[in-house]
Amino acid sequence: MKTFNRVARSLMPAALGLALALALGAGCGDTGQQRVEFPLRAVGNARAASFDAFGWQITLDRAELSFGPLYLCASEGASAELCATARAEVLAAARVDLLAAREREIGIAHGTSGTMRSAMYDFGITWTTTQPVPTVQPSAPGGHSLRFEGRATRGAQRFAFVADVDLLPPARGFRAVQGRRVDATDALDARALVVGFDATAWLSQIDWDALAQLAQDPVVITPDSKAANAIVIAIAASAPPTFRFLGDTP
Amino acid sequence: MNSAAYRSKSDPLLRPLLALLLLALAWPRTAVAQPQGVTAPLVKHRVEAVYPPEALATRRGGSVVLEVVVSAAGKVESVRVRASAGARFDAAATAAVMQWRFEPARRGGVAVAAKIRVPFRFVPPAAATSRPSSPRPASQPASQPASQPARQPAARQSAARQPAVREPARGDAAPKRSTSAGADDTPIEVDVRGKRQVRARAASDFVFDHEVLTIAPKQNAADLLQRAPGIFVARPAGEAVAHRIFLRGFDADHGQDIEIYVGPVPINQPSHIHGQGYADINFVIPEVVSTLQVTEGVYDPRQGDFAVAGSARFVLGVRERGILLRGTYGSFGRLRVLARWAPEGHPDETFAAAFISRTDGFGENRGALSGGAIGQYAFALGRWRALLHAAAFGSRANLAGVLRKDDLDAGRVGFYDSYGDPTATAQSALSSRAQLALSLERASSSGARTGMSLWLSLAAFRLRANFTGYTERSLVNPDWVGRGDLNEQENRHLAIGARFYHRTRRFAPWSWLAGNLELGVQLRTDLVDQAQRLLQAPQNEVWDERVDATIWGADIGLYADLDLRIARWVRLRGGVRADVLYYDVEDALGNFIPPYQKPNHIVGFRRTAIGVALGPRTTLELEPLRWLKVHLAYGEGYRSPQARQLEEGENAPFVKVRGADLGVRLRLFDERLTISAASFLTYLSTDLAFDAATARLERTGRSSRKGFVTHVMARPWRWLTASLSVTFVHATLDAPPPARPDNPDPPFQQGQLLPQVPPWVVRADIGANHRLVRVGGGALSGRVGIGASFLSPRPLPFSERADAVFLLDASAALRWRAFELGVEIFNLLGSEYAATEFSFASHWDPNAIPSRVPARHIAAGPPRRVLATLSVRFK
Repeated sequence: MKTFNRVARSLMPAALGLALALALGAGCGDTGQQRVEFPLRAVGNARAASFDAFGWQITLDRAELSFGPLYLCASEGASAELCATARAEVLAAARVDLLAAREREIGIAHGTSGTMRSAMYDFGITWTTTQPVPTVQPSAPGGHSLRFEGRATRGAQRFAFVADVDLLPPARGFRAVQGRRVDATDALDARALVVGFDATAWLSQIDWDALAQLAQDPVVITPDSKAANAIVIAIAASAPPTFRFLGDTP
Repeated sequence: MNSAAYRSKSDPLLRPLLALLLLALAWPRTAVAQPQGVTAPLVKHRVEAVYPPEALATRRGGSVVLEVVVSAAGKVESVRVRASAGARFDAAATAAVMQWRFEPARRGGVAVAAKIRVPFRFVPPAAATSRPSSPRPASQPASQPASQPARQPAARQSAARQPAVREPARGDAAPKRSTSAGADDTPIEVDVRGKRQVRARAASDFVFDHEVLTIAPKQNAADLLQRAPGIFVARPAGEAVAHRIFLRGFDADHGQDIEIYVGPVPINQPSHIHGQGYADINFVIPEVVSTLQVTEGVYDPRQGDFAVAGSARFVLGVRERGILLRGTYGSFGRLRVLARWAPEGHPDETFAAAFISRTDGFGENRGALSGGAIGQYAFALGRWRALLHAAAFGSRANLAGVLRKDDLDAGRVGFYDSYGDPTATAQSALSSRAQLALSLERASSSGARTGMSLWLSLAAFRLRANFTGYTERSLVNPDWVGRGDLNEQENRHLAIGARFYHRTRRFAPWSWLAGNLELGVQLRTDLVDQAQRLLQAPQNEVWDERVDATIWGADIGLYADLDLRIARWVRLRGGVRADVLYYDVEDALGNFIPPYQKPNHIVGFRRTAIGVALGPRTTLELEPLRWLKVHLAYGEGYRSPQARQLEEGENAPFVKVRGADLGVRLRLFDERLTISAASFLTYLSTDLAFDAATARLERTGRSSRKGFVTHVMARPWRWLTASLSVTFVHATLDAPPPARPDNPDPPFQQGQLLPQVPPWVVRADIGANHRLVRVGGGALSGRVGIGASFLSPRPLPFSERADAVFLLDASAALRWRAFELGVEIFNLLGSEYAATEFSFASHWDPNAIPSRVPARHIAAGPPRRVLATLSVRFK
């Protein structure tokens, strides 16, 4: 018994000390990645209210689009296969006034820490794996991805126009725009993401002369028209939205 | 110290300590009946030896001493001449004794095999005038045993000689020193054949006997594992899928990090489609598990593939002989019927048991039905002791699958529900297993031991599980999407293996040095046919194929294990183990040709690979005091690679584990109180983590564990057994996971915690078994047991933490004569807990825009269940 007492006395403080130290230490550390969220802001181009497009003076009364969902991915080229798990996302599509000169928050991106390198997104029309046909989101202006209303003037020539443009995902489960590179940024460092849209560049791709020859007023640009297709190409290729991460530094 | 002496001498510290530590039950201190000692064989039928006629001419006499092994059935199993009087006399004595029949030796009323020494004294006929029995005509040459061992050997076993008979559970198979001949010079030696003593390799090396295993309620054999410190077992995927095992800082998943044996058969399945080292022990019937050996760490050269966190070995046997019929009924339509037969007169290892179990499940889509049988037969084969083992099992269960935590929080789905989509309700699992083994073992009187075992197992597995909802796209036809990610995994496995070993007799070149050497070979070859495909419920049309492979692999393991005792208090054990593994993979979907590509070859990718894993294991044991042992152990183990991930000609990249363990083990108060405490370090070259998209384990990165484990086992009174274990581990990922195209630089922070590993695991068991009163001529005894498990909040990916888990199980039973009525309550507190949690991206609402950001998912653990059990025993 005396032996046991000795052993117990000698072991007890050490055991308690070790347990306490480790218990305190147990709460330290985490599993690496962290949850993050940052605002998604959109900004148009005030210049788009009135601009020159190959001799035509374009004046916009309305320029809206629906943007989203947006996925920010770790891979170099975001796609359905290479972005099964996204770094961050904004699931809800939001309407954007392209004539607004100031940034406006259109959603909150939720995700996890880690580098974002590319993005894929829709313009208010989604075609998920479970949707039999492309589906228009409530935020889509007039049920389309984009809607422009305005006037085109060149000298004495003048006509009004209404343009409805759809950017459709190519197939079920795909986004309308995939593989859009963004500046590599750790989501943990992102304080905001600003997406810029340049309607001027898009509308400049339209063959306004051809529209004038239609002798309609207003000219109705339908989603399957050449003019709409020119806008789609501009959005997807020549003048895609810009992505700019705002960090801690000004 | 005997029991009475112990009761009269109350240690001033022991009682309060145990009372405080173990929350000892207030129970009458009347001791139950002493366990019966060992009784030697009694001769039922004797045949006299005949004086050899050829010896008449010389009228020579002589004495022959035979060493006779009497089987548990009372038959003479083998005879060996220990003292010869010449070939003719030896033959005469042997011929006689071979015809003898015995009432077998008994230990605790259970028949066991025994070895006795029988002397014969031959005298010429003229001198044969004083036979005490079986008088013969004077003309008949005869002999007689020198004394009367054959007539009443047991009756002459004095109480003083009983201690020479060792309990099998702790005994040594080697013959014992002959006992005193006694006043009548009767040199009878009874050596009850026991199991080989398992010597601890480290302080966290545990052997749990039947009493400890039956303390607390148990539903299945996997629950028994939780008696070992640091082990927590969950069953997140129903009754037809292997348990998920957490062991000392390892999320061993379905067995990737823990080597499991049931009897002589290894259970882990290499290259299993659902996870490397998949080990399904659902087939093990807990009522036939006699001992559980758990080695935490890899310090024994016998430990092979998958012994990364440690090893567990279920030793099968039934001490209580006779027939047991048991029926259980309770919550959620649980019905279990068990029949067990342990024939009298046979050793513990001989038994047969079968069961059927069904349940409606504790929530939606969780019904299950399973059945199985296990049988063993121990017999003598010449000088070899043989054990034939066979088992078969089949089970099918519906699976509720996982639920998104945000859906639970929003009330879109209930905690025990399943998603209602056909692709969710079609989740199920089917598993079956059959195994056969023959073990032979021979121990010589010199202490040498030779053994071999041959085994074969067949296992089939089919799992249909949907973790991610509707995210997958067919590779065969990319237009096929949104049909539900119902992954079907199929695995058919044939394994054949053998083990040979020889342990030398003890050598002692100097007085201060003694030891022996064991050399062994473990062989196995595996043929695995596996597939993974996507199914569209409810018709289960195949809409994509992901895996279609045939794997032929083999593992040839060689080991040497040296056991040295240096001086009185130092013991050095250890050796080295080398495994050669090779693989032949026929990947029928390799070099896949996408639909948009013009075919220029035939799909398929055949490849081979080979590798060698080599590692030392060693243990230094110091025993400065009789009750104190200090262990220092170091070992290197390995986990084999998933064959399908190997490249052509690759030097098979084994996962290497290096571990060290420093601890003490105290055995106090005649081992009524044992305490072990150890600290450990473990480094793993590559860890694995569950990937929900593929429903498989994928590589992560290098990891390490540091921690300690303590275990206290107390048996202050014979009727009370209690244990408490506390394990702490700090498990970290030490290198970033491998880069992939979709994740070129996985985020990593030095020192980040490993997901899923609970830092603290606490387990407490306490049980009492006591005779209460005598009723109707029979004793009414009662049994109560409580088991409690605690898991601290465990880290999940993305700095989240799973909630702590505290589970309390309780049982009580009354036994009267052949009848026992019991009740078991699992999850007594009705905790609503997650059996497992994941974090991954899923898309379960077909009408919503899919999220691709990882979200928490849970698989619900079972709620409170009450089960009533009626058992009837027949002799």
